[in-house]
Amino acid sequence: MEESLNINNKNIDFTIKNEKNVIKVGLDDQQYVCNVAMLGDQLTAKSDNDHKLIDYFQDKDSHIIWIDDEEYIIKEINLVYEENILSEENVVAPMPGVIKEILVTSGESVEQGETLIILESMKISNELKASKKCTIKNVLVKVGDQVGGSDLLVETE
Amino acid sequence: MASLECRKKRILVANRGEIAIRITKAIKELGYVAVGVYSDIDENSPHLFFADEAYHIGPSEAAKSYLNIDKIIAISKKNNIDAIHPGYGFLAENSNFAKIVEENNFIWIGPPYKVMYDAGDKLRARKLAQKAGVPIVPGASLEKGSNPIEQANELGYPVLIKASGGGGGKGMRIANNDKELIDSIDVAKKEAEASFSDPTVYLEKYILDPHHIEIQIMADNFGNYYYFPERECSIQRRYQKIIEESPSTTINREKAKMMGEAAVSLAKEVGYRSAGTVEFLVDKDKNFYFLEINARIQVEHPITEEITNIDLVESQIKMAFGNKLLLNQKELNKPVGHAIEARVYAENPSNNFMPDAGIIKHYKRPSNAGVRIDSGGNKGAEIPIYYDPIISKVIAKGSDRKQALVRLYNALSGYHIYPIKTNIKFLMNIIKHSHFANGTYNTKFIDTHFEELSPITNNNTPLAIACYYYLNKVTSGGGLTSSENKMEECWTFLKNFRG
Repeated sequence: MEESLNINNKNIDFTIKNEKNVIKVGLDDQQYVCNVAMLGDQLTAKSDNDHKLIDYFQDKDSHIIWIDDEEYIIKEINLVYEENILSEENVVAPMPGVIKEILVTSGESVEQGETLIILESMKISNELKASKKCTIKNVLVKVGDQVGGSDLLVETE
Repeated sequence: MASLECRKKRILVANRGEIAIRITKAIKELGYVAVGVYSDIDENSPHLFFADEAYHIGPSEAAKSYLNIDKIIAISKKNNIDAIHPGYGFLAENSNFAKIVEENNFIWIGPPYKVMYDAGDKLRARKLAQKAGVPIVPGASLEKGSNPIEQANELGYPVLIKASGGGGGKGMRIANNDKELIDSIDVAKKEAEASFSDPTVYLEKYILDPHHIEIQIMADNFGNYYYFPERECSIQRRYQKIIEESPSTTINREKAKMMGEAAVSLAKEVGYRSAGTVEFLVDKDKNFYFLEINARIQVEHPITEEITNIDLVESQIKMAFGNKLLLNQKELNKPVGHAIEARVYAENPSNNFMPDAGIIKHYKRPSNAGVRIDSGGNKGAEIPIYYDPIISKVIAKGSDRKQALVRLYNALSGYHIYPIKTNIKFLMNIIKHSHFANGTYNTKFIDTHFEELSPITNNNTPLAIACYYYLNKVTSGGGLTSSENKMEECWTFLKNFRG
């Protein structure tokens, strides 16, 4: 079966087959065959003579899988797509913080690179700027608001 | 009054996070009552659950809570506190706070405020070091009427312009020639004024690619002074230490002894008591120069505890209550094995190390032999945006350096935190780097090798896909159902945890 997933922010195409507890993954013309099972709150993976114990966490729109010293954040591609659309059009908090200053109001038109909002996080001030010339449609926060990473702050058009 | 005699001593910990937990545990081990404090956002923070009692001290902003002297004193009076431990950061090096604590008849678990005042000013500390016969970096004080260009040329370029009032790289500039010197002095003064309310700056000769090596000292109220094996703290990013080890791979035992003795002479000169640290720069010819005194317990104190078997925090408390500290200096000069610490920060290496914050949904800590984790994080706990982004410290001990390094690497590899971004992978890449592994690094290491420390490998992508497929499609009852259950469990837990 042809499939694709977003893994660590990259879209990856692969084939997958499941035969009697054995999962076969085809990636870059290579076949990878392994047997995955549950052990307590972890996974085990057996492939040839290689046995691995794997830690994982299932979040609402992503799976996080830790193998050896690597971390894999895996998402369905359609979920990633929606997030990107959102961030291109509007101003989103790049990290959690507190709104220190709002320099624009609704209806105002701004130039590319103009500072819209100052967000403070752990004593560091971050100037959030307009990515292109646009009009401010809606400011969704006020000074003093605490916001989460990737929260929508300003809608533009 | 007999009942008062048996009353257990009550110690307030004026801090939060991993260091508050560390100190709280020490207080309870000694059989005293540990009292915690918290701001609004910390009302369910892990440090409170280790304390015997905990009291609210104000809003989330540090200035209104953990830095609010009046409130902390009022809470201490109201709750019959005997002594106050400040930890590190916040009010730990505020000599005015120490003075107020003592004036209100509480015991201050730290050095005398007069010593903190002297140590807090770099120019004053340099003068005291000179008086104690401790080598200082050649410098000039830029007093009124002096000519900075003349002074800089006498020292020889490049020179550093430094703020007398503080550290952390604020108010600090490098000048390579007369023009840069004149341009930078004003900028440095302004920055110093803004950061430390003191515009005083001075010049120091710029030591090329130095090592940052520090000596832990301890002094009781009876004139007993001790120095501990050195800590090598040259792995720094933007003047912040991130990996420390003891002993150093740079200096030998003889040099360590010389630095230790110098640190103790300075401690005697300033009348130091309690635990403290004297920081030195060491140049490529192994000359050492006094840098500053840190009048508090340091973030990196555990590596010293691991190689000497002495609990520094317990000793601080005992000394503050007037106990003698009886140690054997000769034994202290012989560290047992090797210890190394890595600081885990909530910061995103792929976004210029910007701090990250939020609720930890997944927290799996390693449990390897020889590994100690001093942590302020846990599943369901919040990393607030208001404070220092340190989550924990991973400390590994080995019979030799190689074993300690392998243990630290494996521990970091098994330390999984989500969705908060951390510097764990970056720390692992440092430990793996050949210059770090063979011990030939100085304070320029991270800047020099930054590109090599950043890559993230994806060698197990097919297996990751197989695991994803298994979790989503293969597990009986449908992977998605089980994943929904898991999320629900998680949120129920969080709700309960946060009250």
